[in-house]
Amino acid sequence: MKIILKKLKNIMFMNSKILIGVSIILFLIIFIIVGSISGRTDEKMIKAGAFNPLLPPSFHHPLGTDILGRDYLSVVIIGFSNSLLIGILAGTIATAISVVIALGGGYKGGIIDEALSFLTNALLIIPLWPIIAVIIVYAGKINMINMALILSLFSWPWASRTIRAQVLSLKERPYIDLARVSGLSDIEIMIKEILPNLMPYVIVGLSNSIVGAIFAEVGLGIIGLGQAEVVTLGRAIYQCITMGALSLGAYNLLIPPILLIVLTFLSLNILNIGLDEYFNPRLKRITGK
Amino acid sequence: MIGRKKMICFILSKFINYLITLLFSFTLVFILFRLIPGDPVRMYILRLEQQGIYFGEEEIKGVAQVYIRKFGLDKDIFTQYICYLRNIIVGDLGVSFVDFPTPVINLLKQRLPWTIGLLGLSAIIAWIIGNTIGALISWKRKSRISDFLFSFFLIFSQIPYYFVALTLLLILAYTFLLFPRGGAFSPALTPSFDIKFIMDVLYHAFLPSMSIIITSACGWIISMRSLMVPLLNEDYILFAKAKGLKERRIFVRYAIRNALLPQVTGLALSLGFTASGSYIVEAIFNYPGVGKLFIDSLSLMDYNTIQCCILLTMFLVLTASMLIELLYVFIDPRIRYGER
Repeated sequence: MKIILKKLKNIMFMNSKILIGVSIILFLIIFIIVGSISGRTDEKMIKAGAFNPLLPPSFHHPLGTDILGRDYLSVVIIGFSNSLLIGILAGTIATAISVVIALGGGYKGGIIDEALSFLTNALLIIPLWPIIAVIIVYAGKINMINMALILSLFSWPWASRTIRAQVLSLKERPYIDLARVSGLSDIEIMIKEILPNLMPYVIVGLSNSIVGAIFAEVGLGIIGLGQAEVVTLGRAIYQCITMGALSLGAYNLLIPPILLIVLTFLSLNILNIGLDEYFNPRLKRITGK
Repeated sequence: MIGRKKMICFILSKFINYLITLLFSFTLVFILFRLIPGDPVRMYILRLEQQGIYFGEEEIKGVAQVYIRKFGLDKDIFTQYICYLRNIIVGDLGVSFVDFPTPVINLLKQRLPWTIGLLGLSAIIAWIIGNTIGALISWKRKSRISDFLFSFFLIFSQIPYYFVALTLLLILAYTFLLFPRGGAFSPALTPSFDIKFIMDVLYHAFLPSMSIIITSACGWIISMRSLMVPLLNEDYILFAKAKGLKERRIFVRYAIRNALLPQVTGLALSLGFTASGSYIVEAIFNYPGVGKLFIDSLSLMDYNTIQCCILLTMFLVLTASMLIELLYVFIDPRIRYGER
């Protein structure tokens, strides 16, 4: 445990990008936690008509209230944590799918690999968002877990592509031959020998999938599709737009959710770049950072 | 001679792959629309009745029969699938339930030019701008300005299209009233090919296309830089410098050309994603393209129109990305001269 912590500390401080990425993520998590401790996430703060609508920002309502008379900071915090939760859930499932497909296909090779990599490449090119939108609309009432499941079904191909390329290069290494000669089964080799070496790519794939899932979820919300019962950032923005926040020039309603999502995407992306540099030292030497 | 053979092989393999992917995506849509609940035949008859055309029992059965025969709904799933593919090829995809009884294909014909104009042009402009700036900042990678710009572009590449759209709309159209708030042209003008109308269309298209261009150009800058920087340390660049070639020549002929190949593949791959994003942008700007039609029909549950929009989008994206990949014949000499 101590060794792992020490290693983590090493990774963090050797690469400034990893440090920046992790710090922003921690900041966002602390933002949510402080919000919920201070009672912002109470049901009564986001009940429609709890306060006067469209109050300007004040001490009690740092972001003012929205058109439905909800404390907008509360809406943003709850919406953000819900969007994040869906993203993490969908991203994790998607990454799991991509690991299974890339590892199975890439290691086994042959017709299965051909089929799986055709599927991956096809799903990469085909615009999938409209399909997700149709499923969500026709599914009617939908809870967060189902939402995450649907999103994950369509956000695994990117991760799968990178991981498969890595599997193809790893399986040619001598130590895999050694493992095979010493009598390990295919499954054992995949899990014990290859998977640990895939970890950096799995993490990169995970954060990409999270970004992809949040992108799709907020995109659905912003045009009024998706979960009606759950407060999400996309939906909050949709309600603001349909009730005239644009013509009112309500910057306090539109900018905070945008900033939060952009910060999330940015931190995950910087983390990705940092991890890439850390695990591919050749690249780091070249960029000179 | 060998070169030509290789080239034809390359084009054929790309084309066959395109056809299989197209078939795959159409099958995906077919399965999806069989799985979702709802009875299109009932919807159809309901619409007829709402239009004030009253039917007796017999006629309803008759109308339903025609419909069922057209889509093969009384047969097994395989025959339905064949019917579905046949209808796609003939371009007969039923009538819109909301805009009854306009054939969906006619609705799409009106919307298509707007989407192709907005999405296609924006994607290409973004790609060109992104690669140029990306190449320049990696060429000057040792300067502070280049570093600063890189972080700046990195941030902007992370803003989803629809957020750029909202922010531009809020600031430029609603607060400063510099640009129109939506639509594709002023309602006062009638569509024609004179200067005034074209200027008006460009004026209306500026904000929607900017919201796509800003984010994707920044994305291309980032990926171009990550491709160029390792290239610039390659031995052949050093050799070219040692030979005394002009900087400009090394930059254009030696560095950019090699980094451009993966970027072309990237463009082909990114179109699907860009299309998804631009649909939301169209909805935000009330832009009369396929995306707006799709989102409107979604909320009205207009089965045939939804299906047709998706099929058309897939067809467009796949065709465009195949054509882009065929560009390899011109930019990658290895294909022309038959090397691998």
